[in-house]
Amino acid sequence: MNRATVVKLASVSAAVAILIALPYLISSYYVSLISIVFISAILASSINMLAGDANLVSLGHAGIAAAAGYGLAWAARQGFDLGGQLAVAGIMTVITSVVYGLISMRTRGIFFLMVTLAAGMVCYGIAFRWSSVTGGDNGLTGISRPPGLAEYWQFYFFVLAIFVIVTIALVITSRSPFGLAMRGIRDSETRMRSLGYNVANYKFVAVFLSGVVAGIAGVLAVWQFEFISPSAGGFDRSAMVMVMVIIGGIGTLFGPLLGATLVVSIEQVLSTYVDRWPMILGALFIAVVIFAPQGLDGGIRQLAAWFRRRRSPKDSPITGTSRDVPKQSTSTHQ
Amino acid sequence: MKGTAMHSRNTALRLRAGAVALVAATALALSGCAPSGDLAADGSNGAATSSDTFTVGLLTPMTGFVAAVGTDMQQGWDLYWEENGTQAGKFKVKTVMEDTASSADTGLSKAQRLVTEEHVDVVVGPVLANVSLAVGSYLAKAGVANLAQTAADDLTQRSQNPLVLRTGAYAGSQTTYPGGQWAHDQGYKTAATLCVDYAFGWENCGGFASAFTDAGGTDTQQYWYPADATDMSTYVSQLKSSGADMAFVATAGGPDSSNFLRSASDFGLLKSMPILNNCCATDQAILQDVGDIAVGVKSVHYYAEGTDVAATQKFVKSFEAKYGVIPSSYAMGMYATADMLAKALKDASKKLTGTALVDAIKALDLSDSVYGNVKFDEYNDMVGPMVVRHVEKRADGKLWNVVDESYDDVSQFWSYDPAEFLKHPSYSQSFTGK
Amino acid sequence: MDPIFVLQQILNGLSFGALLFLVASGFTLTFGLMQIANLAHGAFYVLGAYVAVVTVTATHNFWIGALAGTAVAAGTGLLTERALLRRVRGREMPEVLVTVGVLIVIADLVLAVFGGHPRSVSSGNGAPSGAIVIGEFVYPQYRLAIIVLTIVIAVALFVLQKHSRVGAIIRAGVDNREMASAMGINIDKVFTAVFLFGAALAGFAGAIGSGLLSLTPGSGTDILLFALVVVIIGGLGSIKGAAVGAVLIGLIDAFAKAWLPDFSYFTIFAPMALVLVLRPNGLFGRAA
Repeated sequence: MNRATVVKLASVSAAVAILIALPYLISSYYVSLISIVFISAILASSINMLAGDANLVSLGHAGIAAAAGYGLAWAARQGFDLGGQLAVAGIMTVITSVVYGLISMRTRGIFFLMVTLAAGMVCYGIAFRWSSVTGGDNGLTGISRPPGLAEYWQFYFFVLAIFVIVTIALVITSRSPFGLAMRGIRDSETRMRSLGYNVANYKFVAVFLSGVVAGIAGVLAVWQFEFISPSAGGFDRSAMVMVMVIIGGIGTLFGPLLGATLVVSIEQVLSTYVDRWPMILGALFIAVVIFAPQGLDGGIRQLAAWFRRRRSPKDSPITGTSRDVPKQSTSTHQ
Repeated sequence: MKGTAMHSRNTALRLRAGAVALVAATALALSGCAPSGDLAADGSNGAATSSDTFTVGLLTPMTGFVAAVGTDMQQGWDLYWEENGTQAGKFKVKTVMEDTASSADTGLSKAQRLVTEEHVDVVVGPVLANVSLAVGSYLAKAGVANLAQTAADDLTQRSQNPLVLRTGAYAGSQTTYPGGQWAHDQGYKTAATLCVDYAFGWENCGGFASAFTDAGGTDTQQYWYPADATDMSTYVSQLKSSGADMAFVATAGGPDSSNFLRSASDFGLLKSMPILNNCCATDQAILQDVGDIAVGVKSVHYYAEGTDVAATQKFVKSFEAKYGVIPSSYAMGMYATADMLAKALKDASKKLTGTALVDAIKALDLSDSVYGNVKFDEYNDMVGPMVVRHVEKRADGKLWNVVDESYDDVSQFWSYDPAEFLKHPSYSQSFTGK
Repeated sequence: MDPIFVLQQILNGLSFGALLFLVASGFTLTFGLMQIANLAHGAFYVLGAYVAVVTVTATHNFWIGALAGTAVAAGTGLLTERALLRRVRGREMPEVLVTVGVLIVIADLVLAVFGGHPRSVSSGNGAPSGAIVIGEFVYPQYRLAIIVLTIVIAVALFVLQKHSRVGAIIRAGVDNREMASAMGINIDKVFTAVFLFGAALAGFAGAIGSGLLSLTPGSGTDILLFALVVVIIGGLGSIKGAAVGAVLIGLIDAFAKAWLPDFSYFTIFAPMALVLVLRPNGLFGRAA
């Protein structure tokens, strides 16, 4: 265990300690906001996993989250108990993820993006139009949180815990042979095919797994707001989440969280003072894509590395595992 | 080399697993220790605002797809305080505006902010039904009164609660019952209906269909269209081939309303079939958009810009003088709400919040309000006049609605017994009356 | 089944399909020739539409309005290409992401400048208006005119892409930049021109659309979805595919609205999903 790992661990523990202490320090409004940040970060993580390891950027994952959310909300309105509600949410997640997987498994790059965009908007459209089941534009209200999570701070701890668990699960998946295969596919599909890998199947599984994470985010969102409406699955939401991933840094560990924090702050807090916040967000997004493709996470690492280099010029900034080096999408992918 | 890499990876994994356990354990332990929550209070926790300032939290959609309505609402609200000053009795009325971004999630967060950060004494708005239902249940938990601006039936029916008072609009089905009566009185025996396919449209259609069939008519065909339909030509064709004596059309006041009018004009429907609309196809925003093809179009609503009710006329003139456009019903609803609030505070000796505020407003004499002669029923909805109106072109070229027929004291329950009525499910695609 | 109703629905489907083709063709052209999926296409559409509406209201001439809309959209496209896309040229994902950013910015800009009220172009003002009446059959002339105009444009585009010298130069530039440059063709200028043309098509489609449907700031994403579905079905880069896809989706949409209103989104999704599973490159597309 070297010094760098200790520092990393210490800072993560400190951050976790602060996060746990938050409800005792700030008002309920801000704690709720942070819950929203974490829920968005979970959804962003689902996209991040696909984007980083497989170079598949989805513009429609909010649709899967919404499908899970509607499943839960509908079941709650029908009077199912908690187990039943979660079962319905689970079924919806599986069905939607499978459909997403099936239509996208033979695509890549921008085609994948377009297909997921279309799929997401169709989810929105169904939520909007099948109003006898989904309530249409009004959505479904009056969904209460499970017992034990009813208070805002209880729910906050729950969301925090889920976020940590999901992040770790995603890291484990990424470091597994499966993750390795995905990165191989990202680097060269033809090579992997010639090695005997069924590329389409791998992509299907990857999309499915990311869909499961998106479904978790969807369920949490319904519990956070205690209602759901079609906008949960619309293009705006999907675009916002993708913006979080990009600004945070594609494929990085903390990218989703950093991006979610920035975007939610702008969406919820800046919007109180500035009317034209979407323009600001859009401009920021463009700037990041063009000038800082490694996003906030990469930017922070570069800063940290620069600090380290200044203090001891002999240490190379290249430490840590390959997972931590920020990835840039280069031009020669097929 | 490989061994070292494996070893450090295992350590890292183990450390991470430890971290999870730590977080989980802490979370469980802490779930027993509640922080000094500020959410449950009626907003008067800690730094309470001065007792002479009455703070209003205004929730309107300033961005997003109904941003135009948000502007109307804000203008109506501002006009009142400009005309009358912000002093209401002992209290100085301060308004804090938040943007719901036409979204229920954002609306809910902003409502939370208004209560816990700005410590507002009442929340006015929002206008969208989904935002309103979500915000309403939060405010009920927080103990803050809500002066609602939305037409969702259940806000004053099945989801009624003593903290919500509908001051800015009538209930959805309430606004169309008189239309059904009128249609029958005109001699029409059969009607086809075209309504937007979510709660607002269901309620509007339910109102018309119930009243029409009660009076003796038959609702022969019910068409529903999705709220985001871009192309209304299909539905116009359907109405044409329905063979009914007349059509009742309930649109949502967005592009669907203008699309409907233009398609109906293009396809000759406006000339070939008598049509009665709900509020929204002839609301000011739509009239300003579609122009002269709307002349002569009939609708049923609680507001007509060209009415000769004195209080309404005064409001319309004043609004037009300040903003250069004729006010929409959204602007009017906010103006009326401001008026009610100011009147309730005028004679109050101490600050009215929560149910005290609601009761004080309900007790007011509102016979001379901008709506005309209204009063509140015990479900917190207004009972008041409605009109069947048609669009006319004024001498200066602008379009507005003038009154054909008036109906007084229209209640959200029409002629039904409230208790019996509430036993039925809410209006929906499958239930539009009997 | 009333034959007049069916005929009207067919024409409704074809006129909506015509609009979809105008939107989709610009998108598919930009992709086919430059390998850029321009998601800001929806923004160019809505920008062109608003400018057209405002111009028509001021000048009372539909064609001037259409011209203005097209020009502004093209200008915005030029700006986007020069200032932004050029910096990420050749990198497929950043290119698309930049266009998403542009979409977000323009959508908000449109709201800020034009307000949120629905807008449309009132009939007349030089555009075909009124309706054709044949006995019980009534149909708006504007819609018929759109169908005819679009057929003309479609043929022109197809010829341009396949047979003209310009089309050949562009195809050469895409296939092999260095060679094309070596042969004296200014590739940068060509790419800018293509992007501009796609944006102009979107703006023109917006102007046409403003006479057909009411406009709100959200109309850009609405039409973008339809365009994507059309292009996915027809195949990226194929004008023929865009035409077939547009007609198909237009007709499905018209009849689904009449007969299956609750499931009208399903009915658009179904052909797209089918194509993706059976022929992922679309009906007429080639492997990217």
